[in-house]
Amino acid sequence: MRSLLATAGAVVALACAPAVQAGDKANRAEYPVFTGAYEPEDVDERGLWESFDEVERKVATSKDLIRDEGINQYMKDVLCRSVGDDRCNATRIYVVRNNAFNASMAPNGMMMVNSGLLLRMRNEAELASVLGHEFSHFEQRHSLQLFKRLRSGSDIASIVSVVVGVPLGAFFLLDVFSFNRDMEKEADVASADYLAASPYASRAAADIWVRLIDEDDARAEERNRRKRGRSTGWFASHPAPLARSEYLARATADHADDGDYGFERYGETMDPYLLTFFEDQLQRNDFAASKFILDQMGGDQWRPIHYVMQGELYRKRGLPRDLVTAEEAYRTAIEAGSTRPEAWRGLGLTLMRARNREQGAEALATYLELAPDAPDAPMMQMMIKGS
Amino acid sequence: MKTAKKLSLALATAAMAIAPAPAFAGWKRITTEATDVGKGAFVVTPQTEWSRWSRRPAKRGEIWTQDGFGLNMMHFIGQVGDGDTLFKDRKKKERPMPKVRGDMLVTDLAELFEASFSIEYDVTQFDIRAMEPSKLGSHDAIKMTYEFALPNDALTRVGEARLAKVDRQVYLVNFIAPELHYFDQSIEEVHVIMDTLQLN
Amino acid sequence: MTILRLRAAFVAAFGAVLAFGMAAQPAFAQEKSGVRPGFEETSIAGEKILLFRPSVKVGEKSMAGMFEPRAEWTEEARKLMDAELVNAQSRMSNELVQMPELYGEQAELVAEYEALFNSVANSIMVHQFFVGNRLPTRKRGAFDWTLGDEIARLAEVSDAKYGLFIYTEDHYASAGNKIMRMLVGGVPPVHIGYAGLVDLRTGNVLWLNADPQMGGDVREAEGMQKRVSQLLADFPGSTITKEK
Repeated sequence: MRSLLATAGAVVALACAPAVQAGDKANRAEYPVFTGAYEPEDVDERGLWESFDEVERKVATSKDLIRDEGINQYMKDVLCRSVGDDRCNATRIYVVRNNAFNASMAPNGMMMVNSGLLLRMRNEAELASVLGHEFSHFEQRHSLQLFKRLRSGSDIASIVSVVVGVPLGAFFLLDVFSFNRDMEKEADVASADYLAASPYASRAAADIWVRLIDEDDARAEERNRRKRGRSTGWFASHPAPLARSEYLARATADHADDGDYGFERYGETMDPYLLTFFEDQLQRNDFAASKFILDQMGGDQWRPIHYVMQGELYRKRGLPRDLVTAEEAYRTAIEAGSTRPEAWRGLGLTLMRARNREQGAEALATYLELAPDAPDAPMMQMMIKGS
Repeated sequence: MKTAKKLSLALATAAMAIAPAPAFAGWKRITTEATDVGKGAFVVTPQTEWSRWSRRPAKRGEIWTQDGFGLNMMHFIGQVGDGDTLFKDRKKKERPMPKVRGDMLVTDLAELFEASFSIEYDVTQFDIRAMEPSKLGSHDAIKMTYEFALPNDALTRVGEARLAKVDRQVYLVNFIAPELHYFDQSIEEVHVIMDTLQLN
Repeated sequence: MTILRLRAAFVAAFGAVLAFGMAAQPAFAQEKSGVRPGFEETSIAGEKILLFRPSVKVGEKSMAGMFEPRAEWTEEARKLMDAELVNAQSRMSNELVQMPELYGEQAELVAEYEALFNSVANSIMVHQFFVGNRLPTRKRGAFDWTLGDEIARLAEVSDAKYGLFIYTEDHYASAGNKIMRMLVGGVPPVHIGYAGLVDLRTGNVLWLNADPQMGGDVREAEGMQKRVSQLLADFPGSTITKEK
């Protein structure tokens, strides 16, 4: 049943895929009762709304937003499929180009999702669960609760940190609330409910958080520093990842279902962006974590784009043995049918660095045939001539 | 609460450790005469006067400006050998800088710069507009023009960098400015500087 | 998840902003205002002035010295600021025109110029008003700063020849921060503000008034009145004087 669905998804495909019909999933739950439109209700709430409207003005004009209609529409579609149409229309989603894993939700309905999060999701159902999680902070008015407690000053101890500064050029600071542990758990449970009522497989939510810790462990090991994930304050505002995965698994077991993972749909929508997002990640000189991300993304179903990314990963580190791995990766991508010019570019540069100039020049020539207008075309022509 | 405090303290400490730079440091006038730059790595003859910051971005490096770093900023970094980093590797565990390797192609230098610059200034978005062969002084070089944004900033900043490898040592000259007005105002002189300087 | 963002944000704030030399260091500032040589007050008499949306930030300085924005203070201060600017208008010979609601590319262009103004204003504060940090390239000290004449595009949107930019940022010390400062020292909380008049045909900054230690508690009406008076003190052609 599931694989059938997945195939159907692939055929319909893409950013504007119509919502999967209710009833596709055998035992789909009902959405929790939706209390209606999100109008600020009292003075506190209106004030909070307005101040975030101000923040949103700034966000909407910042240069690090991804404005492509395709990906923005897709995010909206996934959120709608996750939490239901009546809910999702209360929000605006902004995709920010930033390699860090992050998403945030403001009380006025502004949701921000980093490209680094999209890079770390393995399928659409995982994305749906994260978007649902962020949405439920909004539905449950978590920011407002924090804000009221802060204002009364009586319950300071329960507030983890109220803050956050994101520097906008000259000290513009964006207010975002960090939610506390109970709120995070509440949001997890709510998102599990959404997922159960959605066409998605409920199980998808369970191990996102553990992967995040494993990624940082990989990074810590490479940089020879202490691992900080499991016990220390790194995740202080969030339930411990292991506990989290356990109760998420329990919550989803209640909704044992055979819903859609949207694996192909996610791949087809993200493929055009993945390389850019991954290059942003590679720029951080963060090899071990980047490799971890790629391995998780590819799983046991590597697509041609994954091999191109693997080539970039190893070519950019550039140890002698890396060049061998990189060459093999690019070649595999090409054999598997990748039409990305970057595969030939990477192959050509790898071969040249390994002193195989003739073959390198050939690969670069193919790159230029495929991408004659590439911004680096004059440079690559020189590389070919100079070889 | 305890963990929260610890966390915020840790964050504040981390932030302070990253910013050892006194915002105010000494400035030295660069005149239009031939000037030794980066402890002798370059000899540069600018057309107008510049101000040199006393704090070095690299052992053999300098940063210049005319109106403040937010408006125009030029890097000279020279004689970076195998195993060294372009910018000083100040925070190895949090944000290690990539290293120069002897077998790097000239195109690898461009990628090295892209990563080093992004890490040094915490740039999350760096896009190449053009990459072409060029000269740095009389030496073959790679020239890249690019744009970048600081997180959540509405200002488009653009840059032009040229890198060359001479005797297994890497040389970089880079200019950045807001795209509005300031980049165009200086780029002609920057080109002359890059064309006429001498590498040692 | 927000924790990760928070961390990245601080790295960015200090790594980038300080390195770009844009940080204002209150303790060192000396001069507080500048007027472009040759600018005559009478030249703007009766002219319409386009008011760019004032940037208002209010927050708390935590024990560890971090700035924590406070949404409710910011919101209150913004309301008070808007009201006070209407008041101040009566003491100026100019009509302040609100920036029209813009969308898409026009909104981005305006935001980009606001950001450029902030960059220029930071350079002026760091390198002009703090005389000890003057750049050798600006040693003569002439107040000749500009946003570039391409800004004329904004004059067309608004039918105004001049633009006014206003920025305030206030950090109020928490009890913990006060104690920490008594024990181990540290810089006092920031109360920075600046207002600048720009010729929208040339981009030239005609007048800038800035102070990293402004007075007036912006969370209260009376304080805001003082703050706006201070921001617009000696605004060309006005009768606004600084309240003590």
